[in-house]
Amino acid sequence: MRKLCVILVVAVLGLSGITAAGEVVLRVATWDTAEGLHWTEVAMQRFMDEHPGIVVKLESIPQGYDDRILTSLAGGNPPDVFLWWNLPALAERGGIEPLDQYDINFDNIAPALNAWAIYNGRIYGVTKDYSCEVIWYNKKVFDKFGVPYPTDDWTWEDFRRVVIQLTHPDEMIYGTVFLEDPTYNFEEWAEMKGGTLISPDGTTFDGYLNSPETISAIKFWTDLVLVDKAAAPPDVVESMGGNYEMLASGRVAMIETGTWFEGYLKARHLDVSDFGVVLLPRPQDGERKNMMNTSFWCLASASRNKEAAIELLKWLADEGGRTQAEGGWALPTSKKVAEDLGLYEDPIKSKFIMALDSAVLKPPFLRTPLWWEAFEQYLADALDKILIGGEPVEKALNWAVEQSEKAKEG
Amino acid sequence: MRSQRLLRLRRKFWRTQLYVLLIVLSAIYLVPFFWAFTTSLKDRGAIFEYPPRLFPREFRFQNYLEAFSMYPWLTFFRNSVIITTLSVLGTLLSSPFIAFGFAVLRFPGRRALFFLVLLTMMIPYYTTLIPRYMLFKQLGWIDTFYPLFVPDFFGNAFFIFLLRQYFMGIPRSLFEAAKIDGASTLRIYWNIYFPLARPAVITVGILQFMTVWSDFIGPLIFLQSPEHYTLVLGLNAFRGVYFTYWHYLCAMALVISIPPIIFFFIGQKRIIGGITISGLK
Amino acid sequence: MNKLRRREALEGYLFILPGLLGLLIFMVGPIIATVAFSFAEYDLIQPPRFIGAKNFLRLFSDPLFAQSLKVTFTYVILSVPLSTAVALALALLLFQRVKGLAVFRTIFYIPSVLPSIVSAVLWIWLYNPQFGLINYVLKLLGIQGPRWLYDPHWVLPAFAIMGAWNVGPTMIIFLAGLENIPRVYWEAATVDGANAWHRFRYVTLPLLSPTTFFVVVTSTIGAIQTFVQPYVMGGGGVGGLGAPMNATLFSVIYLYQQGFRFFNMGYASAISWVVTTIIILLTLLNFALSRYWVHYSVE
Repeated sequence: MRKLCVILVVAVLGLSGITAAGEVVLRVATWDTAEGLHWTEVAMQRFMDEHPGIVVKLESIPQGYDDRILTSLAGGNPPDVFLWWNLPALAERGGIEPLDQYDINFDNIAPALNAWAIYNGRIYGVTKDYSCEVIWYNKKVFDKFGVPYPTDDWTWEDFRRVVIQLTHPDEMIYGTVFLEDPTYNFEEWAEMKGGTLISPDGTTFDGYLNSPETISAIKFWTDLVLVDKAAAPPDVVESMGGNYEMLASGRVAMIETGTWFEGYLKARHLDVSDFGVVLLPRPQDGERKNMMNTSFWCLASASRNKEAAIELLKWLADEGGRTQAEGGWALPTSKKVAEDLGLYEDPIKSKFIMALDSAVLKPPFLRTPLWWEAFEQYLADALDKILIGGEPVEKALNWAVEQSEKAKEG
Repeated sequence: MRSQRLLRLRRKFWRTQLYVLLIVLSAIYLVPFFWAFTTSLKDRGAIFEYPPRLFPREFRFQNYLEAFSMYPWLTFFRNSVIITTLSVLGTLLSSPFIAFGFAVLRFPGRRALFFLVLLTMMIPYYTTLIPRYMLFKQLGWIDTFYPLFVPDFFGNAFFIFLLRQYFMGIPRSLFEAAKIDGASTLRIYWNIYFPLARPAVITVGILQFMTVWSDFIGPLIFLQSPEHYTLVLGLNAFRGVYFTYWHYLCAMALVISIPPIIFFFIGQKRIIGGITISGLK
Repeated sequence: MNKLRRREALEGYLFILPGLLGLLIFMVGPIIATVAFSFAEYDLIQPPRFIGAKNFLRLFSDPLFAQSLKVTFTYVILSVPLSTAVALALALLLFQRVKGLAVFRTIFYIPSVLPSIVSAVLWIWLYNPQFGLINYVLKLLGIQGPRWLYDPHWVLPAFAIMGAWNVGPTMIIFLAGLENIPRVYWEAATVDGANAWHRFRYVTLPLLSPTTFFVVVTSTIGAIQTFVQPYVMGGGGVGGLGAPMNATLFSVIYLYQQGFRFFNMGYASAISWVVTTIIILLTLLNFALSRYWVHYSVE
């Protein structure tokens, strides 16, 4: 028994990586896995090649990422640099440090992306990669019903018309599917109409969620489901294998999503050229707005190797996502890199880069750290009430406003 | 004589019914295994098809090789083996011992203390996760295996309860008689009660093995370096942000499931062996 | 107390000493900490801030907490009797002298060995309203199956059925208990003219009662703490955790959400202690009632 303990202690000590003197070991955490992780590893290796004396230890946590990071933050033992997306939640509580005080070149990164890293006027993260919401369409479905492909300047009316034209219940084909994420998707459609989901200072739904503009945006979509029966509701989508599978197999003509669909096609061994990308339609009397999805590299306030960490962040900002873009895995964060790699000529990738110009600059969850607990769930519940419970849009949204006000008092 | 034959026929009838029932149930219970197996042989594109086909178009046994080569599974295996063995050892050493104390020996505060031990079972895992993390950090045990097996050397409420019930089912007269014969309590425990409780002890071993082998949260939170990861944590790596590599996941999940199944198979045969002993009066 | 008694008491304490030590080292600190958290506002990053009983007061007026209790206890009532009965039935089946017993036992145990993510995905497909096997079979029988995981009224029964199928560990606990019953009693009963049912009711059940008691108590405690299933599988509809429409908002899910998603660890700790208190009370009740139906060894 004792011998076993000794062996174990020695084994564990040996494994714990006691490094040579003088080397700084940076713990870096990411939720990347498999191919994505590979490109992150390549980037980290390039950094290490240029910075001898700093060793990057990459921790990949594909599932349970939040749990691990939060627990380690609570225990005062976070990774030095880690990937995060909801910056206000951590920034407000002092878990991550503002980065504008350090010599990091944020100008290399597209301004829209930096905007999302700002909280209370300070920048808290270096963008790692991003995706923009666009409309992916299946060319074969369009060809089958003789509908011309959409163009970037199309309107909501065009969109609705095309959706209805492409819906054929007898063949179980839908024009589109209901938007998948209340927060991300409905904010952009509301903003296109001049509305928004929550007040600019993030304190209340009242007057915003239930404003005529927002109501009309939400109603546009719920009508597509309930009245025109041309958009598949969420439970049908899920029971048909998810929106990606539906689009890939031609059960739906168009879906709104981001860059990840391309990766899905590759995994499915399908030809990307059978699909097209177009920017979101704009309303007749409004401008296009689309959401983004970003992740940032952040610096933990409790890190004990801040100098080395800042070197890494500096390097990442300068690199602008070149490594992952060269690998075709993700878009670069720097427009210059995009130009260098000729991405503006790519029919699909170029759209995402163009979409940056119409990006929503301050989504609801960046306006208040309480978005998820005091607002989002009521919006989601309200949508359920409308789609499943059959309640009128205005009534359900007013209900959400009420609930949220009550919750805030608690 | 006729009644004898009738009896035998009747018995045969029920026996056949029993077999039929068992086979039908087995089929139902094997569905997930079967599904996991066919998924593991599918082509990467086919795994996303909807509705999913039951049989893959081609049998890609090389999926197993590919999955295997993607991560250091042997290291994960070694880690899992170390942690699980130590944990099971600790549990088997401590839990019956403590259960015996609660079940057979009489001392003031017996019930209250037992309840106190049970209390640990009644607190949700996530509640104490953060303070436990801090405790282990103080001890310097983060990113080591210690948090995952050392506590088991001090008993496990669930098993202490189980074994106590078992011990209480043994007549106390046995204890008293042995005492009169001059045996020490420790000897009585080790030479009489522990062997008598063999079915329960083996059950405890099997259950703890399974629990620790497939534990996800513990390794997720308390381990950091990839070289310390366990098999289940490694399995996690097949779940990407955008989609999951189901074929690899199922392949390795099946492989990982083999040790607990073998352990169970061997162990439960030993449980049957307990019949003759408890028949002794 | 005479010398023998005192000696036995001392030995008693010595035997349970490891358990108490373990409690002291690994549980006392964390328990005190979480009790302290429940009286504080704690966002995991900044140190906790004392706010008195505000968290507990909030619990009383929180409709989601009430909902979580309702969900949890509905599930307990559905799943504990079902799982216990199924596990016992299987154990009895596998206790007969059948050829290939070992193989059958292993087969019934296998589901609990598969990593939960694998079986979760399978069940999501099985319960699929359009393409799933379960509704398909129901259709053959002429019944229109419900929307299962997407229907707030059916999602809990769906989980209960899953739980009943996953009874491998409980089954082997019953098996161990059955093994412990001396064959003599059954033989005696048969000689007295008892049939299978009588044997079950008057010999097996009473002699198995310590084990059954254990199963009922631990299943109840476990069912109240259900987390993995709803975490992995809940999510029909537009919402995330707790969907559809909070029908899968189990208490532990709710406390996890408050603590690890919304940074309200203080409130989560308060929820946790209320849940634990309920568990303690229920367990005490179980113990108190046990004298009416649990028979320990025949003295």
